[in-house]
Amino acid sequence: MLRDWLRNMMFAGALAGAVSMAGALRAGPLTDSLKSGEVKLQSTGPITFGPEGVLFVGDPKAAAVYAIGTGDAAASKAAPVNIENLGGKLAALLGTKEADVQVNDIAVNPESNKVYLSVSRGKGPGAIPVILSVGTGGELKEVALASVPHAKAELSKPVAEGAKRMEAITGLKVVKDKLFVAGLSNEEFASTLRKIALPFDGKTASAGIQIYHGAHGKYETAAPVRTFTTVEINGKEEILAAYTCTPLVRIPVSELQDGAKVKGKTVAELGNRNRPLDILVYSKEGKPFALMANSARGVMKVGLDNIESVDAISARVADTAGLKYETLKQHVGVEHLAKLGDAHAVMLVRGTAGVSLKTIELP
Amino acid sequence: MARLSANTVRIGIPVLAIFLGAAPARSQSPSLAWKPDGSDPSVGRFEARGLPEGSPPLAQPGRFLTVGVEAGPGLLGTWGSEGNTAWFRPRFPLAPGVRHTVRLGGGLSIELVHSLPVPETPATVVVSSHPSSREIPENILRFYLVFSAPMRTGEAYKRVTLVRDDGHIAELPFLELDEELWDPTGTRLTLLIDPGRIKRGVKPLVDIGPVFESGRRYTLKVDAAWPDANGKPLSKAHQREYQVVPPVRRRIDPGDWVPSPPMSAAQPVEIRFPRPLDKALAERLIRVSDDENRPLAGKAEMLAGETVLRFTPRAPWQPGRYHLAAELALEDPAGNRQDRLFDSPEDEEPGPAKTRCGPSFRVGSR
Repeated sequence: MLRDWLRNMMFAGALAGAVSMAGALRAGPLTDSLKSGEVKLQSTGPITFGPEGVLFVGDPKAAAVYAIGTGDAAASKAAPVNIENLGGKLAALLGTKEADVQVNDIAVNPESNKVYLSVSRGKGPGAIPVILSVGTGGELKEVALASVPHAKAELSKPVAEGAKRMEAITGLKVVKDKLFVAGLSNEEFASTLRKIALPFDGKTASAGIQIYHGAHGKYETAAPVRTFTTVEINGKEEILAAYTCTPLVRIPVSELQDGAKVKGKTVAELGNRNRPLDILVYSKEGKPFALMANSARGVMKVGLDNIESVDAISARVADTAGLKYETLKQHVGVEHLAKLGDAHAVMLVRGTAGVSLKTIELP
Repeated sequence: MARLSANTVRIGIPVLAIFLGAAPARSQSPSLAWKPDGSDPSVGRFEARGLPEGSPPLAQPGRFLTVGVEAGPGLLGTWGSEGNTAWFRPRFPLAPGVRHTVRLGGGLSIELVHSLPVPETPATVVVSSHPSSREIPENILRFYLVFSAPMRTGEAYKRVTLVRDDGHIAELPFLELDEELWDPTGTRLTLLIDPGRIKRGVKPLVDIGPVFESGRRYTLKVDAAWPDANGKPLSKAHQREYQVVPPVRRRIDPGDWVPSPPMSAAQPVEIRFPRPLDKALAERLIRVSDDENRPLAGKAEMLAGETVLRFTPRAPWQPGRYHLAAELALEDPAGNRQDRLFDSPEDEEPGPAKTRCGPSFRVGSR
C-alpha cells in the first residue's frame, strides 16, 4: 500500500513538473521575428525544425520556405511513436483514398520531441498541402495555419504567369542562425545550396553555392545533393551531403559563402545501384555515426569517428572506400528518418501494406 | 438502420427514425444531405435536418454526426448546429470518387452515402517528347514529356522506360527525386539521366556503364497505364526512337548561330543552331533585342529537332538592326553551356556577364 502511495505521489510530482515546464514556452529572437497571419502553402516538401519550436516548411510550388512558430516549444521527454497503416489513417482524416496520400517528409521538434509530417492530399498539381503533428498516443492532428506566427523566404523571384520553370526542394537544414536549402530546377541543371540567414530578412535567397567533390580524380560539377545533414567536427559545423552516385561528402559550413564554388571532400563511397534517401547523425557511446536510408540496401550506419583523418577519395576504388559502414538489413523500405531525442530515430517505412511510422533505438 | 444512398442526386426516401428522447416538435422527418456552399459541389457541409428540438445531435453534433470515408472514420472538419439542423463541414473540399458515409446517432439511426462523381474528362495523351530529334548524343542529360492534361505524380520513374535495340531495359537510368520535376501545371515532366552515368570517371559510369551507347538504337517508352491527375489512364502508350551518336562535349557558341531575317514586318525570325539545344531553356533564355538593347516581347518556339528557334515578336518588326543573346544558363540536351562543359572541372571563372551575344540581323532596307 505504502509503495503504491509513494508511486502515485512520484507520478503526481512528475506530472506537475511536466505541466510547469509546458507553461514555460521559450520565446527568442526567431519567434519574435515572426508575424501572425495565414500561411497559404501552395505545396509542401521537406520540413525541418529550428530552435524555439519553429518549423521550416519547403514550398516548392511557391519557390519559398516558411518559418512557422508552432508554439510547441515546451520540453517533453522523447517517447517512441509507432503508427501502423499511417497512409490509411491519413486518408481517413483527409477524406481521400490511401493511394492519394503522399508523406513528403517527417521531422521531430527537438524541443518537444513531437513528430511532424509533411503530407499532400492528392497526387497532381491540385494536391492540398497539410502539416500534421503526431501526439504521444499516435493521434494525428492538423497544424492549423490560418493564424500563426510566420515568416517567408523566397528562393527565387516569383516566376512569370505561365512560366514552366520550377525548382524541387531536396533538403532543408538549420545550422545555428542559417537555413540551408538544397534544390534542383526542372530546366537548367543548376543544383544549388542556398544559405538563408535567420531570422528571415524578407530578401530573396542568395544565388546559391556550387559544390564540387572529388571522385576518382575528377571533380563533379554541380552534382545534385540528394539529402544532407550537419555534423560538428572539432567544434566546426560541416554539411554532410549524400549524392545520387552515393558518395558522402563533407563541406565546412564556414566555406559556404554566397556565390562561392566550394570543393567538398568525399569521405565515403557507398556503392552503386542505390540512391540515398535521408540521413541523420547521432552519437552513441561517445562515438559519432550517420544513419542513412537508401533505395536498395536497407539502412546504412556509417562510423564518423575518423572522418577528420580519413583520406579524401580521389582515386578509383573497387566498390566502397573511405569511412566504414554496416548495412542494417532489417530496416527495409525506409524513406525518411528523423532523430527522436538522443537515443531514437523515427522512420517512415514503406511496406506491402502502405506506409507506417516506426521508432527504433539508434543502432 | 435505414440507409439513404446518394451520388450527387439525393433520393428522397422517407426515413424511419427512432428517437428515444422527447416527442418530435415538428412532423418533418430527420434527414441527411450534402449542401454545397455555392456552385462548387465539393465545398459545403453535411446537414442533419429536421431534428427534434433538444435531440442529442443538436446539443452535441461532434458526437452524434460522424463522417468517414472508405479509408476509415474521423474525417477532419468542424461541427455546429442551428435551429433544427446539425452540420459537419469537412476541412477540405470533397475528393471526387471518394465515398463519404455520414451517420447520425443519438437515437436517430440514419446514414447517408455521398460521393462526388469523377469528372468526365477526355483521355490524356502524350502531346510531345523532347528531344524530338532522331539522334541523341550518348551523354544526353535531359528529356521532357508534355501531356495534354495534368498527370498523377509519384509514377514517373516506373512508367517511363528506355529500351535498347536488343530489348534490354536500362537499369535505373533516371535521377530519381522524391519530388518529380514537373512544371506548375503538372503537364510537363523533366527527366534527368542520372549524372553519375554521364560524368566521365565517376563511379556509376565506370562500374555500370552509360545509359546510352553510341551506335545503338533506343526507345523511350511511356506506359499507357500511367494515370492522369483524375486517375484515368493515358489513351495510348507513347514511344520515340533514337539513334545514339557519340557524346557531345563542346560548349555552346552563339557566334555559330545563323538567323534568317524576316522578309516582312509580320514574319518571325528563325535562328538555326549547328546542333540541337535544350527546348525549354532555348525558348526561355535566348533573347532578341533591338539596337538599343531593349529585349523584345514575343513567342519563342523550338522546331526541327530543337535546331531552329522561331521567334515571333508581339509587335511587328520595325526596320533596323536586332541582336541575339543567350543567358549563360542555356544548355544543350547534354547539359553543356556557353561557359562550361557538363562534366568538365575546367570552368571559366564566373564573370559579371550573365549573357553572351550572338549574331545580329537586319529587318527592312538599310
